[in-house]
Amino acid sequence: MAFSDLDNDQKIILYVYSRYSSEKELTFLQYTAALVIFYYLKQQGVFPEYDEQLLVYDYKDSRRFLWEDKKFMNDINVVRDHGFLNRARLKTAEYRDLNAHYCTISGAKAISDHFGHTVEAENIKKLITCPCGEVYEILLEDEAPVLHCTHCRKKDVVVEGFLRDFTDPIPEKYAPAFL
Amino acid sequence: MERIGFKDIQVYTAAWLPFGRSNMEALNRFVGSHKKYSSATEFGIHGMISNMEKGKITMNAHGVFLTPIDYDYTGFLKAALRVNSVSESEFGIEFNKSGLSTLGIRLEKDTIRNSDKIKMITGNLSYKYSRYVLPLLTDVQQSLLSGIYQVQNFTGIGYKLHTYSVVKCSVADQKECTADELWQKYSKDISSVTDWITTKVTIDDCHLFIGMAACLCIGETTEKVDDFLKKVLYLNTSRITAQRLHSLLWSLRRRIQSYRQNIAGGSYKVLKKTNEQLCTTSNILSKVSVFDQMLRDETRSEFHDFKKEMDAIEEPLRKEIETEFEHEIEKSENREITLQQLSDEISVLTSELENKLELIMTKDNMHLNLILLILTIISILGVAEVLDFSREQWEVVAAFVVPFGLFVIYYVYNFLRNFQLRDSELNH
Repeated sequence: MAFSDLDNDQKIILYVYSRYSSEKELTFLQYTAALVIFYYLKQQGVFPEYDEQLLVYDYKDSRRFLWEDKKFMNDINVVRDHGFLNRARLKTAEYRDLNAHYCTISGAKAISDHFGHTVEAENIKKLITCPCGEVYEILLEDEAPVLHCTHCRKKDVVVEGFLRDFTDPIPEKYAPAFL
Repeated sequence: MERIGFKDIQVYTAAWLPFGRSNMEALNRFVGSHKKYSSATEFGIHGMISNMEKGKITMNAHGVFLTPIDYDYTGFLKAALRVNSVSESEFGIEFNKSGLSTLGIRLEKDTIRNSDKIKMITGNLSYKYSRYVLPLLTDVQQSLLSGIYQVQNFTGIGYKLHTYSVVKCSVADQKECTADELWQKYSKDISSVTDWITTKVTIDDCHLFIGMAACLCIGETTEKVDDFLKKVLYLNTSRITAQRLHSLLWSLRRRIQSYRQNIAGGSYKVLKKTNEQLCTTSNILSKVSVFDQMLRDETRSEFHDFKKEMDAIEEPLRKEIETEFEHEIEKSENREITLQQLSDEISVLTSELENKLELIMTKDNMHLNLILLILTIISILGVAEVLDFSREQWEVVAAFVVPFGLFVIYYVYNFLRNFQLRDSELNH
């Protein structure tokens, strides 16, 4: 299966993974962090087809309602089926195992041969890179995830709306119910 | 003697691992058996995430790639295993809640004439088993295994793992010969795969040579034969695991004996060291106890299934297998008694050791106090002598020193009574 078989969303997904992970260097991007960066890109208008769909998933050591569009989930699996992305389960010291993915050697090659030099890749790169030139680190902070630059002192980019807040009362009217 | 030509070869290597339904469910959840991904997922990656806040993670070494094929959440998992993302060859791996866990391959090469080559493949699979299969287990299982195999962590098990193999194949003249005739013709080749043969039998035109290291099955297997082979694998993997447990109990018994000697005549330093060793042994013993209990429960359950499901197996083979199961259960009951005995011995030694350590500490403290008292009297007398005290001044010094001296005598008496005399009484 060739890189050209991927649709545009899938190519962007692989490109972002290639910036954050590598089979050679044994670096992985945990799935929750991937959801953060792709949600951020969606907010920036990169994925017009993706909806605001919710998923109950691990956020650090808690279960939270967060964003995951079903097309995005399917896109990830399509990229995996092409052998450009691998899924992995990683052990944590304090919590249960985490899902993570990494860009394979063939995925990195496909990006460098066919996508890395395009205008679209440049635009994505600008969005995930600090003005100082460093790729943002994705930090899963308690209040909201942030994009953080480890190189300069620029203020963190807070990814608003990623975590759903359920501390407010239910807005709809309701009455007691029993089975 | 003729050389055998093995065709259509399948090699399975199995070990008994502590599973049960909880660990089986944990594995199926971990692998995501229900997710039906069309691509493999990497598992058993070396390293651990210490900061979950960071999105980008670096690990130590790659693991293996699994594609689930069939599963029952708490019952079993069948999966294809690749050792890296680009490898074209896959192993078949099957875990069962009974603990029987098998790694299998079908050889593409038509015929192998050298039986040693088959033996090499079983050895190779056994090593691969430690390397690729054990990292997939839960931490609880890995901890139990590292206790049984006496290694710091499961990665050190390597060649230590006790496995048993089944080799399925066909040979040119299998249909015309009985198992005995095949044995007469090819005994050297057969026994080089199986080691000592304990049973030769033919079921549904399949000739089975069950040995100490492997079972060679010549002929096309039916479902009944495959089910029987699984029982043979279970019996043999549980047997060698039980032997391993029994050897471990021997070595623990020897260690406990040496601790007893250390406690009898050891210095404070030796006793402290012995205390640490007793803790380690107690920890191993608790792991062995859990492991043994799991093995016993699963063997009982397998025996029950055998009696229920294997009625197609004819006598005297059926009776023979039933007797083997009964013996395994009986052996495990014996081990339970030994484990209880060792555990009791450790408890006794631990309290004995604590008493002895406390005695040494108290004795040392009293010794020190005694020396200080005597030195104080000598100092007072020395100062009085140097300052050339008058008769009246000496009387004042004596007023202090005499009760002090009486107290020293009383202290010496108590010290001798509590320690020196008591020690000699005890020795007597």
